[in-house]
Amino acid sequence: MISPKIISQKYTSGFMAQIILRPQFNQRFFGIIVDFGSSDPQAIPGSAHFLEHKLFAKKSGDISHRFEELGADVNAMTSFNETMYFCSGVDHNRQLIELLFELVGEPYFTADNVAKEIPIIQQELAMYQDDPNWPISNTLMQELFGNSNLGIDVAGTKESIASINVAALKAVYQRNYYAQNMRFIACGDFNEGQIQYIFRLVGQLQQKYIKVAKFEQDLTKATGKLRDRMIVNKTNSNVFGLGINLKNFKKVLSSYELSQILLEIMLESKLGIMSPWFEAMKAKHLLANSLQIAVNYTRQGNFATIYGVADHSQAVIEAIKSEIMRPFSKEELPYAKEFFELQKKEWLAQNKRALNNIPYLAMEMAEELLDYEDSSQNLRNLQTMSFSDFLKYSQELLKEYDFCSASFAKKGEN
Amino acid sequence: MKITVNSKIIPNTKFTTAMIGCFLRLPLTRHNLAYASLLTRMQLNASLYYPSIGIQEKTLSNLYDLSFDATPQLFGKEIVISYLANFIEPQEILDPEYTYEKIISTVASIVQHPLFDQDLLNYTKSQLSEDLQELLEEPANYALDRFFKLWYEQDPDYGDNFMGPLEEIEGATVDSLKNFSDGLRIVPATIVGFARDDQQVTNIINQNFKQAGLIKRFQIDDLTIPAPHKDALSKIEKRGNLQAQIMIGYGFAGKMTYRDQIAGMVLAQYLAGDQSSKLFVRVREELGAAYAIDSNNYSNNSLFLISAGLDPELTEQAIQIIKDEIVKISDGQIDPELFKKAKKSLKNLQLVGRDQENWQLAQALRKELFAGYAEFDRDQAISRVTSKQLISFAQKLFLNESYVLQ
Repeated sequence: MISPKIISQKYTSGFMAQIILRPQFNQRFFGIIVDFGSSDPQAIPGSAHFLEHKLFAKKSGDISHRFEELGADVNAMTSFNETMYFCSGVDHNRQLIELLFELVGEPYFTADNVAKEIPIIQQELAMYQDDPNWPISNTLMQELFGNSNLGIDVAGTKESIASINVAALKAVYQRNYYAQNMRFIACGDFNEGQIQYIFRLVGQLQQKYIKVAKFEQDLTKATGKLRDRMIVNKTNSNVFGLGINLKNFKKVLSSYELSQILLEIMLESKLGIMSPWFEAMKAKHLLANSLQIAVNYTRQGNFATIYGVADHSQAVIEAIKSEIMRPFSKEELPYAKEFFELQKKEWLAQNKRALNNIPYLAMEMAEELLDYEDSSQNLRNLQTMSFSDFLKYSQELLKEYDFCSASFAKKGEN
Repeated sequence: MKITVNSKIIPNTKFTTAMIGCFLRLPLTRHNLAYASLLTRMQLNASLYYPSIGIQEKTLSNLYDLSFDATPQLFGKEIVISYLANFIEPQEILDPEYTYEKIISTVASIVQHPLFDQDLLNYTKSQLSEDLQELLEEPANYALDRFFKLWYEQDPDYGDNFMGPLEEIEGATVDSLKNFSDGLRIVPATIVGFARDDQQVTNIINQNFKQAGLIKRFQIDDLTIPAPHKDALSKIEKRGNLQAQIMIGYGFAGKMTYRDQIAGMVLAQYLAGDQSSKLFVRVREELGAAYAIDSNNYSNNSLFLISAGLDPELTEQAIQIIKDEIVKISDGQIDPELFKKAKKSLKNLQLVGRDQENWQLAQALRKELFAGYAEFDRDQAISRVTSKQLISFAQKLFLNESYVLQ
């Protein structure tokens, strides 16, 4: 049985590093994750994402070219509460780690390079906006969280992107990029000597590049109007979305991640492709393909989203709401229990599969390190959880909630 | 007499999952593609021994989320119907009931025993119709579909890029689909994969897969579709999108050897492989016209395709930059540092590919499908690519089609 060896180190600055060993893999992955994302406080929406783009600019030019000279890939991503910078290659470990710290730790913002980035990010946003899923997911997030940063696209709006300047970028950088708020992760095949070397090198580099500071996090929750919206659009798409504002979402057995897993299992058991509900919707020709269900937790709000495709989206949205509100009947409990047992197998398998995907594994572990989560413990808790405990926890998490939805208006509707 | 069955399972010492792929080869026609899409989608839903979505899903879930996929893949003039099973190695799970035997017999029964049922057929048709509609609502997909339809305007059997014509799918009956499926028993087939106990898996496969096609020659000498000559067809279509999608297609004159393919891959990397690549710098960083730009060498289609999502105002300038770069390369104007970097990146991509199960299986399939592929040393060929080869490759390209979706 393959189990990854994980070694962690904490430096006096509060910066933390972790190495995950995956013998025989050629790829070496390095990342720095920052506990700051698009929905966290920032004066101009989209600043976190803009900053992620602009940190690649250095006095000598785009730093990605120097990664690529080493035959490595470099990239970054911004999510609601996190920004991650990462690179991967097959050799040159030391140089890659040094470059990664320079990327994150040495900003070079000028009026000119910021202005040049505006049309590129606007094109990135335009790319998303041309996808028919975008108006649905964007409307849903606005209905869930209004005009807060969580309700606005990670990239911002065309207007907010245009208004970002050097001062705005410096402000969010100073406020959020500090040792206690950042973690380093490495994943791949490293020998004992390399492990010791990486920890020493990271120790030196975090001292050189990352400042020591401490700021309190703003945990203000956002709420939108939570309406059912119909969007008039040129598209022929039948995509729809339903949002659930989870007011009572909290830790189960000391973990948000476990709460997320339990709630996703609960929603899948009611609405998933194996459920009697889906079978009935299929028989009525209301649904052909499975729904995409996800539960998210952020500092600004916790929510679930359900996306699907249906000709008669209003009827499906109402049916989903009814099904979520309805408790399992006595006759349905054996099915729900069997489903829960199958989900235990699926989560065990997912855990095993993750070990084969170096970037995915590293990113998941980096998030975990930031959030003080322990996925192995969560998996053990899930495997040993009784069905009655599962019902109790998931009912508690779904105690108070509000729905909203978004769908496209058919011709003649508005 | 011992019959040789086309199955090749290699040992897995690296991954927590094993993989097997069963591949059936048949000629690419619109009809075959439509029926292959319909049949495989039906098999993903249900099969004779697992006759409903719920039952089949439950069966796979119970096998520790066995990931089963079935889809037609296009290789030039051929369709390869691919059945892929990715499953957790039984050694990883402490469950005596979870065995290779159980896993493979389940997969074999889904692959070899489709369910021909009117309700299932109707339901699958509605899924495919919905999928295609949603797929084509995405501008990049729509543009790609239109590009290929125009590219193969004179040879429509090759022009469908996704699932074949919807009217063929909608016109299929239980009987016509069953006839198509029956015919697949005798088309050339092969099974490849990797597993910890490769010998045991090979034995179980040989016991469970019984198609006659498994003893036919799977390899094919040439499946390349020559590039049509279209006199640099230029087409602009308007759909009111925020971004313009451009597809600039170059035909490749003559047959593309394996060494040419490598040169084409290096060229794709040189032009749009990463952030320091030529077009990325010129179109994104200097012109500020795009977020992403891509280039691909479709060797089986004799097509070198450059695509991007662009600011509509800057489309013409971007297209001109692309055309200029190809001309520059054919004239021998190659940035030596960038060329070196492109080769190094490509070599590393091959190494990283070996860390991915799907890449491993795709390579195993290619070794079975293409004559001489197994013997060709790709890593060495990448190392040895010269700028002369790149120039020669670019010189064989001719601008064939420029498609813009606005």
